[in-house]
Amino acid sequence: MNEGLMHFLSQGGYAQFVWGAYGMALLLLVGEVIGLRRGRRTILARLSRLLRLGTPPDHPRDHE
Amino acid sequence: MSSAWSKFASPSTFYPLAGRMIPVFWVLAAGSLLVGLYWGFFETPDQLGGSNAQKGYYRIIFLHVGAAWMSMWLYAVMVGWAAVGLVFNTRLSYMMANAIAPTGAIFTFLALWSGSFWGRPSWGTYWDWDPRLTSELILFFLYIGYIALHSAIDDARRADRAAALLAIVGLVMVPVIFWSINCPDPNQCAALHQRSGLGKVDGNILFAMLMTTLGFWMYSFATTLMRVRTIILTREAQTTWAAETIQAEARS
Repeated sequence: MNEGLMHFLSQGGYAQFVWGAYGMALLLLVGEVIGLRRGRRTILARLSRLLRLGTPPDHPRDHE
Repeated sequence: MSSAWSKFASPSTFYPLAGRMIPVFWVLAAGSLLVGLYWGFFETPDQLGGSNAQKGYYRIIFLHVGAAWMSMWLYAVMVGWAAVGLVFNTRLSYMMANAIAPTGAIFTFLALWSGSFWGRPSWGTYWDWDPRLTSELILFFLYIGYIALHSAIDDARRADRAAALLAIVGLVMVPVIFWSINCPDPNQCAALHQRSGLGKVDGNILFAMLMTTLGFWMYSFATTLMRVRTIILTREAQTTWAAETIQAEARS
């Protein structure tokens, strides 16, 4: 590997701290977006099934 | 004025508008984060000298400061929407508050996590019951408490009001975090958090820090709008427009 890349990856000998911090950020932020997309698909599928069945999709939480 | 507000406060108007804004915020978030991280890693010195010597690990700052600022800012915005909901009884305001909370909790956790990874090489410990660390941890529990309380109450409107009150009471933590510094004068004692003017920060570091913060802010807009759109469809599903939207979007 070239020296510049090694220098970058080693972060002056503190690689585990720097990449440990940034790695968690990457994991959580990408994970949040994936979770949002999946959650949306799941909810759309559930609501559209309820609508097709003719059941009013009023979640128990929405009763006043 | 009031008619314009009530128009946008209507979930059916806001839903498509939010959908159009999301890609814009994604582009802004990606652009700011790329510029900020490039600048932070390649246009700044490898270590800092001076009274507060810092080796390579100081680069955690570009994540840590942005995440910490967003943790407090998102809480304030969440309380703002919750308060608007309580005063005007607008459904969409509560939905906005609900949509902000998970992103706020994530940034609060990241501020704590990145701080501990900075604290270990710099302070010699991952954790200390320092006033700012402790108050930031309480802010994390407040986000979790808001989310948990809201999901524990079956009736959505009662859940909205109860969680809004909890959020408003918890707002007291934001100024506490901001001013909780146990060492105001770095000449008198050593502490990681000191009262520092942004003007004293090196220009390249400051620029990178502000760009990553801007990136996190734009990211928060994008995720909040994504989340609020799903909340709107779930809670408005009895209405004709929502039913039509659900069926159209479930097919695509």
